[in-house]
Amino acid sequence: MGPYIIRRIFWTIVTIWAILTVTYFIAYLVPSDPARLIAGQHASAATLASIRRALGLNRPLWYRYLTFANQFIHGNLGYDYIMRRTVSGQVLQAAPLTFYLALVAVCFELIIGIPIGIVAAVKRYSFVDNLLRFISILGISMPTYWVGSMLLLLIGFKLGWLPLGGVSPAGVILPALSVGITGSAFYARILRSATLETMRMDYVRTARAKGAKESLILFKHTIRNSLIPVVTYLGLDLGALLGGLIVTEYIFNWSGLGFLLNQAIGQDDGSLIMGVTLFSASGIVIMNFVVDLAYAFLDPRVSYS
Amino acid sequence: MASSAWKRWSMSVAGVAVLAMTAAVSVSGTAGASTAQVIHFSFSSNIETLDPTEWTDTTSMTPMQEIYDTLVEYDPYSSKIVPGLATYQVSKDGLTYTFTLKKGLKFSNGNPVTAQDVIYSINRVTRGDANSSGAAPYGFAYADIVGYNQWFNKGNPPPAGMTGMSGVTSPAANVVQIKLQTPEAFFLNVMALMSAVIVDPSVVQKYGQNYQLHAIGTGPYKLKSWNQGHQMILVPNTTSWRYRKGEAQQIVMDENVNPDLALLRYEQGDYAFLLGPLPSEVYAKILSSATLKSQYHNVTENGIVYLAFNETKAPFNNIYMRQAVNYAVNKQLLIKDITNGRAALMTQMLPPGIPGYNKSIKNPFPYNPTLAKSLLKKAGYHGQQINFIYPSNTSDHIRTAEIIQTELKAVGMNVTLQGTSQVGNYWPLEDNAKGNWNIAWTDWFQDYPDAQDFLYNLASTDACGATNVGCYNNSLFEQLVTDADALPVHDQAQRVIDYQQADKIAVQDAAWVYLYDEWNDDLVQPWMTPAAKGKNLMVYLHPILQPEYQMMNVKSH
Repeated sequence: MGPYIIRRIFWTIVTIWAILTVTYFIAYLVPSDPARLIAGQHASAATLASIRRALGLNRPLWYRYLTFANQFIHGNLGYDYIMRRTVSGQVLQAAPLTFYLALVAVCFELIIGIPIGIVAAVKRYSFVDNLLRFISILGISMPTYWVGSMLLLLIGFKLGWLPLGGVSPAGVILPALSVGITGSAFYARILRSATLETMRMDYVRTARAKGAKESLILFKHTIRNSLIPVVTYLGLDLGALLGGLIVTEYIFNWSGLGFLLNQAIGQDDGSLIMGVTLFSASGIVIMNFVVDLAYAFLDPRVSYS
Repeated sequence: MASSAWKRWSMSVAGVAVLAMTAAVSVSGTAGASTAQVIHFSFSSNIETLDPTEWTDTTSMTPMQEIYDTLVEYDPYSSKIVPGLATYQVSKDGLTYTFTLKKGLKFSNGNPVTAQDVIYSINRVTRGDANSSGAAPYGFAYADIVGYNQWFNKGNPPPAGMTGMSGVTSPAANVVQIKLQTPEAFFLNVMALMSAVIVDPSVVQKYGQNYQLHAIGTGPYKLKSWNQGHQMILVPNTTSWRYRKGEAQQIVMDENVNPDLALLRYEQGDYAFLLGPLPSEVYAKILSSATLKSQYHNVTENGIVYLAFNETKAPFNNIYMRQAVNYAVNKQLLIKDITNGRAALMTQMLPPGIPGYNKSIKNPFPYNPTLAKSLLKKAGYHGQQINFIYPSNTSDHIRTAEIIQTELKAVGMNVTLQGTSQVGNYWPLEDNAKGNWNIAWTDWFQDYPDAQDFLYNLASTDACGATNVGCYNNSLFEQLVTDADALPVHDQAQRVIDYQQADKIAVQDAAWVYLYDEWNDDLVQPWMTPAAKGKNLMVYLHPILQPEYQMMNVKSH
């Protein structure tokens, strides 16, 4: 166990370092002059020179890279001269909103996806099943930005039931729902096939032979066991949502990490793009590490030699 | 299926739902008093700063106009310079400007405004301070003040013991005198820029790098809260010389709201106005709604879109080549396709709102591909590759570049497109692939309504390789412009004559491809009405540009 943890820690650090390096050099390759972005179109050459000096842009690339890496180790993502704030400050302000949206979105995915999956499996090959499968294919195919815009237009604007975007207590419902509607289709499909497979298991047949009630067989023996792939997918999904709500957050003006990233890209803000990318990527790497360790403690069958 | 297992199952589903809802309600919302006296609107970008040393953008200008004042300012109804915090006098030789502060002026924290505060503010903005990113972007605008060079010290820290420019003094209480090295007819414009607002030194020194979160001024509103990147709230500043009873109780500005969402909120009546320039997709929706159409306003603004030639090398150091491109590009088509007809044909360097605009110049290069072809022949062009550089950060820019490329190809020019992230990135010739481009898409929006801001900044040899993107160079043009710039402010009539002539020369030279003069357009709710002069609250939407919207009354709604 000990050597395993050490090995995992080592590879986690290597992965984060690789992400840092790749992000840094990609940001460097973009043909953009931070000094000019800060100074605006009208600035003189002397002003530009003095901003470059203040930012250390006149230093060699390796020096700037090492400085950045050193800052990062100390938990400092640098100062964002375009937004005039620290990068860490902005990221830490946005991150809880993204986590929160992702969490609510996953809840919606489950609320919508699980019942559909079960009903489709129980009523397999019936009209209901075909209809639900059609709906779930539709859900997978519909882009979130379209669903999001429609929800905004219908529920937010025409009916006026929920706020038109922005961060507010009720404001999370529409963005989470738009992710929920499109994302739930995956859960429905996974659960349907898992349930169908479980239904053919011996223990299900045994339960039925014992004369157990159909509902008991379904909920106690079948669905419980079919939920395993759903839980596995949930982990992946949550990770993806944390890094990938860029479009949803933009449409609904939800000021999380995706919103911040979108804003940073729009104004060529290299330090902010790097900061958000590094934060999200490191978060996922660290989460993976924690999950792997958790497996080791929870499942005695997992071997770590 | 009313079994106990089903009940448990449905209970747990309901549990998740309740959890989701409770979680939803537990996140705190944004502030928003919903009285009739709240003016709520949004920007599609950030409010970048409230610190005048960092200011460059029009978005920040809106809150800064409310919070701060300048010594002189624009009359919103005529865009002429009028007294602001101070009355002013200009000496006959145009070298000495004397500002006398009005009596009883106070910052919103109660501190009186003194001549020393003015001197501090002007000195600070010429070089930034230890807290800013190194230099104030607009510092250069004050470079003709006596003592500027020693104080700016090429961007290095000022010499020991120096506290400011020798040309900025206070000869008497409440009087500030500024001496210039050469006359500058546009100097009062520079003093009305947002970089020249008067700050309270004690507040700047107290908060340092966080100054802008605590910005204090003399304007009609003061900062209540600012969640940067999201929302700024202003409330009336009752100590302001501009304060009037009946001002809106709050100005709430949302940042970074995408245009589609902003339009919905406007239609819902939440937003008091939608600030332009409105994107094409929003404009299309306005056209399809009678209500929105009746609330739509537009005006030609002092902003230009043009193509610059790299005139430092072949082939565009040849006038026939420049003329050929001018005839080959169908500007009317661009105006129709790219701006939905929301722009005016550009006929010369100056836009129509700037004194010096030459009315006698009308469409100098009408679309004529045949003529373009013969000019190319005359120039001896044989299909050399032409690099067209443009900012590919919006779909409109990309389409513009593609249309122009097609048109130039149609007359036999071998054009390749090269996109870059933002227009600012290719300004210095030497910085961008060693000037390896021939034609560049460029735009400019006025700093102040004076011809100097266009002709000198965009086409003089001093600005070559910087704001004179392609290094246009004509000695007669240069002479006329620099002479007119240096005339005392009293000689406006002579200045106009000089600028008109210079403008004409640049057209004869086919210095640029003159594409279009930009419009600005807004949606304004019917319950926001233009205020009578000198009455009621002020809401500056677009300073200098659209007088009718600059001061507004809010009716109950």
